[in-house]
Amino acid sequence: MNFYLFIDLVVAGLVTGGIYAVVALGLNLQYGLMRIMNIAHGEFLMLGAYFTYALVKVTGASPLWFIPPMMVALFLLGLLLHRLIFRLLAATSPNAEAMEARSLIVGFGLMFIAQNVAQLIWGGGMSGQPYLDAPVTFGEVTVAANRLLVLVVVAAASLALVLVLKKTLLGKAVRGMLQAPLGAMLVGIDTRTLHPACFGLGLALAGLAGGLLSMVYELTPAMGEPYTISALIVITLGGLGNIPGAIAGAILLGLAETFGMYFTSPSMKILISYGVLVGVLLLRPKGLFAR
Amino acid sequence: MRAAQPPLPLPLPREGGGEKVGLELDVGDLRAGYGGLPVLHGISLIAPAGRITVLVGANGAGKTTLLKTLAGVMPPVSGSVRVDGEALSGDTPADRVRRGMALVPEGRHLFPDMSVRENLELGGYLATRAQREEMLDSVVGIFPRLGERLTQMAGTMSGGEQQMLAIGRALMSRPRLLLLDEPSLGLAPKMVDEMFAALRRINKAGTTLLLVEQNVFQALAVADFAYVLGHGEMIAEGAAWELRGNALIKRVYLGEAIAG
Ligand SMILES: Nc1ncnc2c1ncn2[C@@H]1O[C@H](COP(=O)(O)OP(=O)(O)O)[C@@H](O)[C@H]1O
Ligand SMILES: [Mg+2]
Repeated sequence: MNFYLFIDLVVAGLVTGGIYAVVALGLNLQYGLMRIMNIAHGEFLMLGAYFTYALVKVTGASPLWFIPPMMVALFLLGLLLHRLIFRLLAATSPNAEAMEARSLIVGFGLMFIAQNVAQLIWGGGMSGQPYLDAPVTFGEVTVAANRLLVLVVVAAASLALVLVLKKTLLGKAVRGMLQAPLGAMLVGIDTRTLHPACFGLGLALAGLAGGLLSMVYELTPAMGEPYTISALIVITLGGLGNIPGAIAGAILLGLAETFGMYFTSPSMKILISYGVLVGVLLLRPKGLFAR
Repeated sequence: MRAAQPPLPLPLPREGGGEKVGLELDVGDLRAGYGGLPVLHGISLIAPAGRITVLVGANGAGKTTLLKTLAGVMPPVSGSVRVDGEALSGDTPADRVRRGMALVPEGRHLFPDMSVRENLELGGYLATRAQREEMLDSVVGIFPRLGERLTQMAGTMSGGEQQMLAIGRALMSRPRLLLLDEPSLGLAPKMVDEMFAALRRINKAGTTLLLVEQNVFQALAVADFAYVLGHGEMIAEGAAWELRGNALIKRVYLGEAIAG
């Protein structure tokens, strides 16, 4: 294989993997902390993409201006959804399994609502308006500027989240809730505020991924669905609640899909994802980083 | 609004200090259960300030349910819980921690994939950074083994070390009333001795202890007062030295030992 093609594929794989990481981190917190099986997670990515793109179209300004306020809006939407729906589900579910099953059904509902709202407002086929697609050249390697930008932002966001979880007391509290919910309650960690905040953070991160994707890809109301699937695969690969593991799993999946699709065909994407999942689970049944 | 609390004193080391450290716990006619299934049918007990009170009772009697209710993990159906004569305000575990209570739960519930130091830090989640550092030194003073292993992951330690860490984590909030749920469960005899010695030191520094134990005779040996819980009801109470000779206890526990 030629070197430049190889670099191209690596960059594409890292971009996809980075997006998967950001999407999976939020879902990992939601499922790991609250047993919310949020099957509508990808729909918040889609909403973030449309929100950003619609504002770009109206104002003509750079999408980067609209990503932060969109993330704040999705965070607040997360607080609202948690307050209206998931808090009630948690209070009335007799156990974790019931919570998972019920939140799954709620998630399907949210998915239909979100997709149809997007369809209603923006219509089915809104072709993306690529932003910053001029190539950047490093010696002999050429990469589209927008892909590079996506890569830098997702890497920065993932790193920031990992550092917060690793180093700050609040981040340690979140990990504590993941590892031992009763232990966390007993030291005084307040799940009543941290749970909604983490749920909202998950939506904001999905929105970030969507805003970034709106610079690169075409938008459709169903664009989020494959990302939900990928995020679930990534969480399984990395281990539930394992944040660095999810990032490694996301990069592995992004690279495997990109290289796999290049050497076979784009229609093989799903088969390749499941192949990676099955392969890893055969070798390491408890995920990449199980002790 | 809660009344202003006096600042929590450092419980350790405080041998011979004049100021009162321990809180008195007064439970009146407490009823609690799971989803309509009653488990505690009106429990009353007093754990006097600065003393060790031990609660014994067969498996399934409701000891863990009582401690979880006291710690705010589950709501009572009715009854009163007073601390130093004052009804508890607020109902979350965090409110109880702020009031000076801490529970070392059955099964420990440590953070297994975090280091010993991180577990202790989270124990002081509601304290200030300066208080956390001060308490970390005190805890390492009582459990030097934890000090040697600050970077080890909690989940990789032995059962005895994990129990020390669970007690250390609870101490990090500077409790004036420490509840312990079967801390000797599953420990090697030498570790059990070490743990009881540590509990004695913690109590010497002023902290009130309410200790649930299956290790009845060892627990009665360190305790000042004792209660025996039957199925959701108190069936005996008194000074620990009295209950050591109590025929009922002998029958129940020696009987249990033979049956079990
Ligand atoms: N989470 C629970 N849900 C329903 N019943 C429970 C639960 N935990 C304990 N119980 C029941 O409550 C009773 C008292 O249990 P527990 O407080 O754990 O007793 P002890 O600690 O004295 O062994 C038992 O009959 C037990 O089966
Ligand atoms: Mg018990």
